[in-house]
Amino acid sequence: VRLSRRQLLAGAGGALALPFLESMTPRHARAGTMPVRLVVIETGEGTLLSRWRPPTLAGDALELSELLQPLAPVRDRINVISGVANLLPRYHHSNGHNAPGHTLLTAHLCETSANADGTLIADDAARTDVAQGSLCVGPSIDHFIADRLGAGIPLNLAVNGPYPHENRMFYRVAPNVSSAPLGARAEARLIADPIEAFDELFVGAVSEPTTLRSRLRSQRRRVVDSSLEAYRAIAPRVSAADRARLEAHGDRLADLAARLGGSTASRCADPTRPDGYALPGRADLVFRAQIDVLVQALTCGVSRVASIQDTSYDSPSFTHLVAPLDPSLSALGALPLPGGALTDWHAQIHGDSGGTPSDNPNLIAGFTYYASQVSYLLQRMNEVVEPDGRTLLENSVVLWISEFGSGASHSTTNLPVVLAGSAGGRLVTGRHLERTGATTGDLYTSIARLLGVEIDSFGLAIDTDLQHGGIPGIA
Amino acid sequence: VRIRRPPLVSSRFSVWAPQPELRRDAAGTDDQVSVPPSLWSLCLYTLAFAAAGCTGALDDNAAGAFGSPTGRLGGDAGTGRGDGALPGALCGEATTHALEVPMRRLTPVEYRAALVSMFGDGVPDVSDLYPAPAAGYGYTTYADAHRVGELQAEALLDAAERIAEHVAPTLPDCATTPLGGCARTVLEPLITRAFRRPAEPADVDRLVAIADGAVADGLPPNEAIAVAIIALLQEPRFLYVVESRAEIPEWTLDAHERAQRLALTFWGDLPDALLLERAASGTLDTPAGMIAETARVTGDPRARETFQRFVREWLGLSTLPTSHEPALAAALDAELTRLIDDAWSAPDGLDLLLRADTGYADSVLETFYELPAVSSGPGDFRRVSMPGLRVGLVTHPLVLAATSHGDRSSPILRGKLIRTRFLCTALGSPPAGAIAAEPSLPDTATARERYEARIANGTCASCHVYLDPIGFGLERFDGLGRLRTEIDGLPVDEVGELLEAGDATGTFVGPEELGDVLAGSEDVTRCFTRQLMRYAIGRDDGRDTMCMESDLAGAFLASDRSMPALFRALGESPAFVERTGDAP
Repeated sequence: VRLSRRQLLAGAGGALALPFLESMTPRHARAGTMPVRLVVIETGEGTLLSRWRPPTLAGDALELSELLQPLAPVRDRINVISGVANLLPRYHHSNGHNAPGHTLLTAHLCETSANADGTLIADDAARTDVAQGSLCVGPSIDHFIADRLGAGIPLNLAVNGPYPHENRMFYRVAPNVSSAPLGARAEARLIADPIEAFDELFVGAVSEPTTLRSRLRSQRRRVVDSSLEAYRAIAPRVSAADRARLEAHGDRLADLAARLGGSTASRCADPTRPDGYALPGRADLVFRAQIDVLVQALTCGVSRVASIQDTSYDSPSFTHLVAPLDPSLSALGALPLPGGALTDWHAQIHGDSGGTPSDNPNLIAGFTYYASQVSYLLQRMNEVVEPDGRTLLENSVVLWISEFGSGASHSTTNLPVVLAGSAGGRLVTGRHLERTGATTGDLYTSIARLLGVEIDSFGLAIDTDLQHGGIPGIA
Repeated sequence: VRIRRPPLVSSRFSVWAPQPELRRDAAGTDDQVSVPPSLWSLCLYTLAFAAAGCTGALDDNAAGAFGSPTGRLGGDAGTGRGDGALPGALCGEATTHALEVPMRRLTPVEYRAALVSMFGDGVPDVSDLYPAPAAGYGYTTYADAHRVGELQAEALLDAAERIAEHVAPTLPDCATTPLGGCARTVLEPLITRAFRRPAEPADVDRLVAIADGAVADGLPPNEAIAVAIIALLQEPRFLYVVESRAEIPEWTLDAHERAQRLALTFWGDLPDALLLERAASGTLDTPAGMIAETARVTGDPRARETFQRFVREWLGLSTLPTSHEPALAAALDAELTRLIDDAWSAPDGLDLLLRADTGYADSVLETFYELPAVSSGPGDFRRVSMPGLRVGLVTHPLVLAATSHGDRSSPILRGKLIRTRFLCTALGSPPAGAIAAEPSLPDTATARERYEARIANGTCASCHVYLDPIGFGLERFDGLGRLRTEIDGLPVDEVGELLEAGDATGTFVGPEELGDVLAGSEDVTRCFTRQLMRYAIGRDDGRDTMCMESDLAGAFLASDRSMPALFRALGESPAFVERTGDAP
């Protein structure tokens, strides 16, 4: 196997021995431009703004802040954008978490504040609370872009289980209302298990002997089709409210059937199946395994748009950050916790456990850890050299965002935003863009344009401060 | 127990005559005012606060008449169906009792029981796969908590495949091609079992066709039938409690639906052979048959297990808090089970739940409670009186821990539990920006100081005056349920207040007085029956539920608050079998 010079440099020069995957080299190297890929990383509970925000320097120069230190190896490949706000919670009634989380990636209303056509319910008193289970007017930016690009259903991965509770962020373009996608309310499916995601993406690429389980699973399409028939048969026989429940279930079966219909062929000869990540207390290994799956999916052409969400409202304990740190975590810039594993991350975010949150070393370690995982992702993407000679990272846009600026106050202004990758050369990196007044709608408008989807606004556009046609300096 | 009557709200209600059996004057002295019981359930104890926040009071609600507020004050109680109109008649025999029961998916407990019933005890436990009810709804039985997204749809497939993997080797290797009669013989009784009613030919044909198709794909016959079983376990008539009709405004449940309702409500299980037999014979179609069968079903040990699940969910313990060490948590769990069982058997079960000083301790709990060592070891539970340490289940360490942040007690959460679950007050979520409005105080500030600062702020006060002061009465217990005499160097202050809490309104000192007030309150008694109704029908109360509420509260009071009597009243209520498709 011949290694490119860049791959050799990455292997030799990095402080960290990142696993090198020979199998990631596409089978057929083609000359020409590769498609721009989109990755969204969402980590929960905001950040500590005083330690996150980079200093203001002349000419948009970027100097990494304390909490962004793990990104040092890819500093030149990222932009930090400060001042972006999610203004949607102002139109909602909610506890501190539901509205910010649910609206983060849609920049639109939730059904609790929306009429059937997706417009705002005018009477404030007629709006109801955004609950954990509320759906929102979608789609989220990843699904919107994938739909416009004809890139299939995006890959949505999760780290802390498939139930995001108060952080229900990813919404499909619902097929039945695709003519009016902003009226759609359909939750995306998150995959929490890296092996499950891998097996689905690379079906047939790894050959194994059949088992009873696999033989039964091979009949899934038949089972789903029959079930769909049963739901359709019974729905007209029950009351209107009950019919809606059964039809919703039937719609999901139809989605499953569509997905079981076949998947895009992989360009890679022998992708690497994730393994060895399911160790107790090692959520970091799951995160990394999901990153490995995601990077392979993008590299091998089976996904063009993908995301990872790591939001555990039920309090991540960060057991993997208890000293002494695993060397692979130290190498990525993670910090150990000052004491034992955490019992109530959420309470610490809010300062309920005593002390000022911004001085809480547990929080500093937790937020630094998220940066270290993003750093791993970006380094992995920067190792992959694509047929056009650029790295996968250069051919991508990677958004790292959280639903809060300061989680302590449930504030959705000053969201921590990192926008990495060069979008195939369209995006200049290595900058700190201070854009006070910019909104999530503006951010997603710019991202869509970087992917080649020309739009003037994204999401709700009923007030003048919601949309400004994009973020200056991006696209 | 002395149960105080709630105050008469409005003389306009006195035009209805009370039902004779409910004229009983529990207090025995002061109450000669006859107020129709159903009206209590309509108006009095639901403290629904005005829509702009928690600033309303009883009077606001009396005008609205039907409890739950409209609009966004969802919270524990509120879908807010009330429109202010008063009923034209009470719940007599000539009046409709019909209520809406939203079609819901089986709960995890019911799903597991159904699988055991169909495939035997050895069936694998797939509860990690079966989609759990979403948090944030009143009970796990709430239809809205069981929304199926693509993720859940696939998990249901995964779970069924694991069952099929276990069942396949036990299925016959039907030699015929197509499988036809052989597969039909296997599938038909399973379908009848799964659907809680005789299989229809179309259902059998559909599933047999699946097995035939799988054989054509090269699967051995037994595995092909297993594939049909996977499909059976996705069927709406298996996964959902189907009893509704299209285009008919009101109807009475048919006999198999009655059997299904009895078994699921009181057992969390499928109907047994006797229930099916009595459904088929028509016995269940008669009121006498329903009464007799309700007596049998609620006398079964599974009814007590259902009571266990209900009480735990009522107290916010559908999942256990994780604050205690595992061995300690297991011992506390075992103690709680015994206490709830006691309430099931007690003449006045609610009194026991609300103020008994009973505990059970093995050696683990003797250490935790700092009791004299009497037990022979872990698991050897002895009944003990623990005055000062135990005043009803609200002072049980698991309940206290579930309403705390780690070892720090939360008067807010404790107050909220009593407000929403004991007083049936509908509370909304904190308004947007509530946390931002939170006064900034030094870390050393006490909970009471934080409260004082909060109520000095109009945004916070409108709700917190109804919450924190109740929780202050439980401050002798820390977040793990341990006794303490001081908090951060200051002596514990146990003065509490129930503000605008119907006949429980007033100040109190410590859990003992709180327990006495709650146990002596008719409003709390009625709220408890309303909670059971919500659990049973899987939704909040509305205009259509008033007759069932009236039936339950009347029978519960008449029985001196016997839990089995309350269960029987539920099964015997005409509202148990009368349905509407959509609540008015």
